[in-house]
Amino acid sequence: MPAAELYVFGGAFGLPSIDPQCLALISYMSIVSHQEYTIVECNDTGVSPTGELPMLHHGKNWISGTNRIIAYLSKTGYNANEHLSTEEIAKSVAYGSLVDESLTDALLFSWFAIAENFLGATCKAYSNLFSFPSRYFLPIQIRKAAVQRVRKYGGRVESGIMTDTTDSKVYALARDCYRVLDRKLGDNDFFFGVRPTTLDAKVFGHLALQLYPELPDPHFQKMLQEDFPRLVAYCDRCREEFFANLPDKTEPTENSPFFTNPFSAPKEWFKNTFLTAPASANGHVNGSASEQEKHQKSKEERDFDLKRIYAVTFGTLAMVTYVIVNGLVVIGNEEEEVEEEEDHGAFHY
Amino acid sequence: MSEHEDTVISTASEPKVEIVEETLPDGTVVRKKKTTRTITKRVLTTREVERTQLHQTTSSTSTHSSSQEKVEHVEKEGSAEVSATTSSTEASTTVDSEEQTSSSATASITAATTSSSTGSMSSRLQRRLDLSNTPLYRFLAKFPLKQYPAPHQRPRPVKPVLYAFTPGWKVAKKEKEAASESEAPSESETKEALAKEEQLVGSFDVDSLKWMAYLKFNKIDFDIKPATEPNMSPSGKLPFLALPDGKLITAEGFEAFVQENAGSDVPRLELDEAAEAVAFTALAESKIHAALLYTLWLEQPHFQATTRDHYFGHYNNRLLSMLLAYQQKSDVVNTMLQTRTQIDRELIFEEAAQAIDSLSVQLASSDGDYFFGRSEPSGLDAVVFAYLHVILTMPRIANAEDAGRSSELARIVRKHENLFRYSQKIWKTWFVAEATH
Repeated sequence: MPAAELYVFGGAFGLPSIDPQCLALISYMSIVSHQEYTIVECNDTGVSPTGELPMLHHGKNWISGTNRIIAYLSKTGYNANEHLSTEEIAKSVAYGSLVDESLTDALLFSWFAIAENFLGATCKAYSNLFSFPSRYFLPIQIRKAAVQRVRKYGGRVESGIMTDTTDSKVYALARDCYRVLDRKLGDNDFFFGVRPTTLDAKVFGHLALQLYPELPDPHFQKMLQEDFPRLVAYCDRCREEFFANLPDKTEPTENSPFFTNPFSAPKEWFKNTFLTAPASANGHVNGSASEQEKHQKSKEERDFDLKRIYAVTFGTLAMVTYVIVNGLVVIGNEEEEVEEEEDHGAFHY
Repeated sequence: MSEHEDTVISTASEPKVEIVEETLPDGTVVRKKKTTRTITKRVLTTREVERTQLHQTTSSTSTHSSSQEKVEHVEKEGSAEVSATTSSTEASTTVDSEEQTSSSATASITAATTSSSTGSMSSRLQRRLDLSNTPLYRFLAKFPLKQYPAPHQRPRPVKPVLYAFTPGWKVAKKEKEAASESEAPSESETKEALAKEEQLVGSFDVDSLKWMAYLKFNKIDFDIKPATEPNMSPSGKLPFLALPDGKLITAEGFEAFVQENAGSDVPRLELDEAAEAVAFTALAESKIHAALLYTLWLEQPHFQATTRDHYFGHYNNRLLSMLLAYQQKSDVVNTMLQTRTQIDRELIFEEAAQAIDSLSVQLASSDGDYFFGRSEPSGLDAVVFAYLHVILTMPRIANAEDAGRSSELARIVRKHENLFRYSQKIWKTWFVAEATH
């Protein structure tokens, strides 16, 4: 894999990444390819075209989103599911979606809705990742979004903070999910036998973040440790297997061509806006028709961007000219006039 | 015995709660809490039963017939200890609605009868204030002076009633067409008759259809009432179930209700199968649901032609239905944005195709009519059938501007023959067959 870079959130709680999707993808990469890629710890979702990390930069392709990246890698020969039958793949899809739905909600609940956890652990962990000044307001923004997402499980929400979290339906939901996974795992090493697959990556990505971090109110951790010892053993096994040799963390080799602005990356911005069309956003290996569609769309977008820049520049210039011409703001040479006036106005009191 | 009329009227007074101490013959003191509610009833055949009950009852409600019976009953008893002073009452004061004059007599007589029926329990410890003998109470007991029978009584439901979004997509359209046609009256009449028969069977809403299927599979008998206003239900969402005893079951308690009241011969899933069913249900309810929401609410031609009319078409005011439809649409968008950063049509449909593919493989993996190779359907079948049926029966938009985009989901499902046949079979077996009975 020539120079593949994986953009993920930074690490916390002793794990390579704080985000379950990123962690799942790191596990996946270590299943399919060892040391052929590098990890870039960028904590800015703005570099990604869809606004979500993880993101993969492989040659000319920029792909973001776990499912898209896994689909892309499977097509280009790095398929963790290649030894599975169609039925097992169908089951893998089903269990994967269960994990994505329920366990993500449980994680968000545990980290953001329970106030002690947020103030005690999560906020600090996120603050360490971000730079100034985002570290002061971003965690609170994240909490607002997370609380909106889990409010359907009960509890009252006031201005982005959730209260009354004691008997929420999310505990029963998480317990059901653990039970289902436990039953599927049985006594095997991994879900489909002895070789790890995509489902193992996804499940481990979520379970690791519920099991290993030490929180002030560790509800799910206790649930796992007391009632589901097989899942705990499974997590330990996966941790050894996946995180044994992690690749180095590097700086990105080239800047992402999306969402550049004239301040952070002036050269790229200039190039992208005025000169060339940006590279394909999704990296789908589709037919030419959709690519042409994409090119057309990006041309329209470019036209729109250009028009917007021209309009704003023209407006600003016009305002500045008006202000100067009408003397509202005078540039230079004012002191001399004032001195002369004082001379003439000597008779005025 | 005097003849009674054939009507059944029951009026209940306010319940009266008393705490009464009794001493049993062997000396132990028993404190009982008695709630009395007098129900005045006119009953034709159960007189004998009521009389015997009156003999035995020492607590709570007492039903009785008219005053004439009372008198006879007392005579039967024999003993007529009319003690107007404090006596141990079992608090079963009965009020007669017809004869004012005998009411006070009955009150005291029944006090005597009940005291006699419980044996000789009077003792110094039973000093109880006999409310029923105070003049005020006796005066108040004369009211109501005369009661007329109710002219119309609403029949209490016998079966649970499901308030849901019936009928299905095409039936509602057919009715509209039949109503607007005025050329061939006989044809439209038969169409209307057909439509009415099929009317309360399916649904265009996935949740309603899911509940209907699940109740049918568990052999729970229920009636369907068409409802279009989600605020009817206590949780704000249709469908909901109204039980005959007045309780309302919403989405939270539905699963528990069905498990309790399932027919006795309904086979349950094994634990392993149940665990997999959870996973596949989550698959359907996240991926296929997202694609269905997109098709219904975010594909503009489909939204304007079909969804808006079905969900909000029942208002007379067109502006109101348009506003509510757009509000619902923006709610849908916000819900979808909670779980994803962008609403990407390609990705949503790709994931839905993958989900439908997995369901098709799972169904085909075991030989049988339903999932897991069973011959009887389970909860997973209800969920999958609901989604498939709603997708497959959506009316198609033959519009150049749409260019087939809104029926893309239906095309994806139709590609899988076994799912198509499966959905049709469940519809024919469980829904249409019952309607034609």
